[in-house]
Amino acid sequence: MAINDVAVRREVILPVDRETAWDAIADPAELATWLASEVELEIKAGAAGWLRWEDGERHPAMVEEVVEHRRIVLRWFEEDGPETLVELVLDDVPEGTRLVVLELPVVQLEAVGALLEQGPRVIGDSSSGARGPQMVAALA
Amino acid sequence: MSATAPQRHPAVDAVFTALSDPTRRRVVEVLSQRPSVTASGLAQELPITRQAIAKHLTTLVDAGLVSAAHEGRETRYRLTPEPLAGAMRWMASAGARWDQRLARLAQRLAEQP
Repeated sequence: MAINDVAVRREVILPVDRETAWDAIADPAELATWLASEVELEIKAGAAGWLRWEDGERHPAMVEEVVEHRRIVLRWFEEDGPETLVELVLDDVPEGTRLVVLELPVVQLEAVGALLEQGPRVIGDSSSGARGPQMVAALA
Repeated sequence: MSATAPQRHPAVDAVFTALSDPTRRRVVEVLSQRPSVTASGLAQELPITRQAIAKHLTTLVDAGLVSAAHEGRETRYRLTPEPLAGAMRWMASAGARWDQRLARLAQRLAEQP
């Protein structure tokens, strides 16, 4: 039983440069092609809106943080699930751009120590390659 | 902010809160390896005080992950893992949703000229 692993983490290598990948995750019209069936949410820190999932219902969503061309943190609610934070992080890799997704229940972070109160993190040198999602670091 | 009140799921939240602490995860691990233990027994195995153990056990009991039974002068704790199922179910379905979304995204970007 993976009780140490209470976050969902996925990654994918996208065969495009980081700028193109950014448009795919930061433009609501693009998000509506892969993330949800309808997206009414501006990707700007503090923005609130909703996403329509496959179930046809609108689910409230908020943008917690945006680091241009690098990182987006959303907060949303799905039915039958906890309120979660979703972090999307882009990194340059030889094959294109790596997108790392981390989704974890907000209560996790609240208990760990109010990550959100720390404010936006400074993103370091992208060439290091060793940097994982910031929320993972907060949980460690 | 949306007018829609966020739908929280107290049971699942409680489980995730309970598991957010490394010491509590260790307690759960120890409990999963034997039928039942006392707080003193746990304190011998883990590098924390009996008082701290008692607090963690209370949180786990509140989340429904551990049950307490009084046997004579001692209280024995045992793992009741059923509530974990809800949390695990959420993780499995959230993971599956991301697999689908990321497959759509990768396909879309691969198709671009």
